[in-house]
Amino acid sequence: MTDDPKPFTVFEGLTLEAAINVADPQLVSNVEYAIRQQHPQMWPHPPQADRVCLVGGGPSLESTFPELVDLLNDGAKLVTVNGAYRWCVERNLRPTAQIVVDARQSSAKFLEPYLPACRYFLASQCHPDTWDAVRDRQYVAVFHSVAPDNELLKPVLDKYYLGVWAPISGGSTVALRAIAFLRALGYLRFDLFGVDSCFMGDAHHAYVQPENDTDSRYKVRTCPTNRPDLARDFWVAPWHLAQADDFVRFIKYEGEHFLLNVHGDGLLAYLLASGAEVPLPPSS
Amino acid sequence: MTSIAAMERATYSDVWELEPYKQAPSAGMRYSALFTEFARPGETVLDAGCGDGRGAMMLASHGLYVTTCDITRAGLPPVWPLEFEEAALWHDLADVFGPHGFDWVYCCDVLQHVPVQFTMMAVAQLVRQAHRGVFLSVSTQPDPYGIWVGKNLHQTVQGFAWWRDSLREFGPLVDARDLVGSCVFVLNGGAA
Repeated sequence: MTDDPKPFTVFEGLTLEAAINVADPQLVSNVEYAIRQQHPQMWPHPPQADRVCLVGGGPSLESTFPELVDLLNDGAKLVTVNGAYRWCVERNLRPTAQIVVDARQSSAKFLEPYLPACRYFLASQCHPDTWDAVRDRQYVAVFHSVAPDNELLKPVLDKYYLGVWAPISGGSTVALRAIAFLRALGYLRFDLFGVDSCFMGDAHHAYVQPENDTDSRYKVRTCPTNRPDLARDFWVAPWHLAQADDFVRFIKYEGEHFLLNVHGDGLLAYLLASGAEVPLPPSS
Repeated sequence: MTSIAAMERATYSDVWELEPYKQAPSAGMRYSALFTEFARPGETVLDAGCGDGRGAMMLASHGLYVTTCDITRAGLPPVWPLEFEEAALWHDLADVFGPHGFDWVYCCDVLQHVPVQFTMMAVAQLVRQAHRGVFLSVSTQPDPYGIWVGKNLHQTVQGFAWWRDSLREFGPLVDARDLVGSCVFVLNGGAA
């Protein structure tokens, strides 16, 4: 989902180039539809002290559920992305906000069930079906998951909004885009749940997500620099590694702007705790 | 007893004496190009709350037949080439302009200035004057100039969603754009 695809060499023979997962004409069509739905735009806010529990769908969710509940009982705001929304609702947690960024038609399912008090933040690149799913809901806002110099979408947004729109860029997955979005809203303290960037056992998500059932699996090893004794192996899909790479870069360049804690025992939590950067080539 | 309209007229007669207010960007000019995506040359337009007239002159340059009105004439230049009537927007505008109405009503950065008890009455009057539609822009920010006359000039300061939901009471909105700090709406006209 990055606006500037940079080839990322996972390991020899496998290079990833991140790009939005729909073709450009569909993307423009999605944005043209979204901006005409008469929703308010989200705009950068001053810093605020509230703590945010950002919940993704990674497989560590079940094991970290008690920690999540503890933080929510302490007053943290619950923000979900994609299928984590339903996962939380099914466990009687009420998200303050649900963020959807994916441009594919299938993302419409991430808006059910409707919670009247929940804020729904949708990226303007979301499919019309996704926007139709939130029609007549009370709290819906649009944001633009677009780099400020995006040659495809900047003219569309400039024309409609007379140049008054805020680009929210950064990150190849919804979780990282959500962090960038929430940081723009002024939030500084993030606790990430279900943002693992790896398989745990056979699971790629904490819930059924058939779109990822055919993901390739690779075993990678990572460790802090000059500390092979601390090395760990993880099973990853290519998009996991792209997210992990983005995550490390994001922390490196933006890390002084927020406090971040990654819960669970996944790859991202390990990278953050250990200082490891890039997974080593896969074990034979 | 002085009416509210008379008091508002006196306030804005003072306000238009302020150099910073005279120099402020004109919303009427800013949104004129967007408005011409809806209105066609040759159509009639009521610029409701024309202020200093810059917006109205821009509309006229696009081939629209413009009539102007405002709570006071004080903002206009001494020689003003377009039709002008002094009017409070919450009064019966048919008494001022007759029963025929206009193709469009164009009302930029005015509604937030209307006394709060009359804001939606003013919208109703504008809708009744328009055959094709009403083009509105509203500021969602506090005003920076009232301090010089000791009054808060933006009497309604509400966000995009509040204005959108309020205006939807008049019918579905043709267009509604959050321009963060201001917003633009297009309503269908209601003139007979």
